[in-house]
Amino acid sequence: MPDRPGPLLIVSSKAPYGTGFAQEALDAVLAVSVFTPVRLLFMRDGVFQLTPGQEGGAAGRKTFTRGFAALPHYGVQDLFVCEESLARRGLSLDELAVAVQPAKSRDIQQLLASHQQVLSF
Amino acid sequence: MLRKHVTAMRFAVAVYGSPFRDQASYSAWQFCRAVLRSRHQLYRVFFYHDGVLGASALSVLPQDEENLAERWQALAAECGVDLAVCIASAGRRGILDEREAKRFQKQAGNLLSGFTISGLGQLADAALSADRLVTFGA
Repeated sequence: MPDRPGPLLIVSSKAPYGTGFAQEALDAVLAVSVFTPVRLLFMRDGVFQLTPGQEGGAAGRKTFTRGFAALPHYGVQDLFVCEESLARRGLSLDELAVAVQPAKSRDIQQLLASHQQVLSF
Repeated sequence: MLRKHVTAMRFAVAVYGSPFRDQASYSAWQFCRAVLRSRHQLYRVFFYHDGVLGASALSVLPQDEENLAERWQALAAECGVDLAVCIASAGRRGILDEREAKRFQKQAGNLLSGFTISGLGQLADAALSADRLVTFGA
């Protein structure tokens, strides 16, 4: 592993409970953050992970989204959400349960271009 | 054939797709084979999410179907490829090596030889150490 690795971008773009991807994306965020700074971008159906009042139990699943509250303890401070994905799903930034920075498509292009490593889930 | 002026790169591969539901695992193997046949290097293959299902020694396939697991094993045996399987993803899906089987008091381990149970740190290391990390099945 390089001595001073650059930040790694993790893109989470699946809904929270339809598949196990979103939960295992969060696992990856927590694990990878031990080794290198991590930035997290929610887009497409991934934005549904940020909505309040989640009860995974109704779907027989752990409400893993509670884990987002732990991110600052792992040094993961930079959370972004795709504005267009929110708008298309009738969601707005101020109703989300997690503090995230809005990103326009131009910002997302820049995020993707400026990170040498991107993991997408 | 690659032209000579192409710079040799170090690739890492992440496999998320189920070997039976998705094309991803097979495509990943084809990609790895192509890397190994070129002048590039393959740093590691990391199996995560449903990708770990390809590392089970208990899969039984009809004789006329492609046995992808054997193809991965051949890559490992012939080229020394590091086939790392995420411990958390694998445990959930019932894939354990002998050590994990003992630890959780299960009857037996079922990890195919050639594969290694490993942690997400190995995915982080792969992403940071390789020139390119290529993901299959996201």
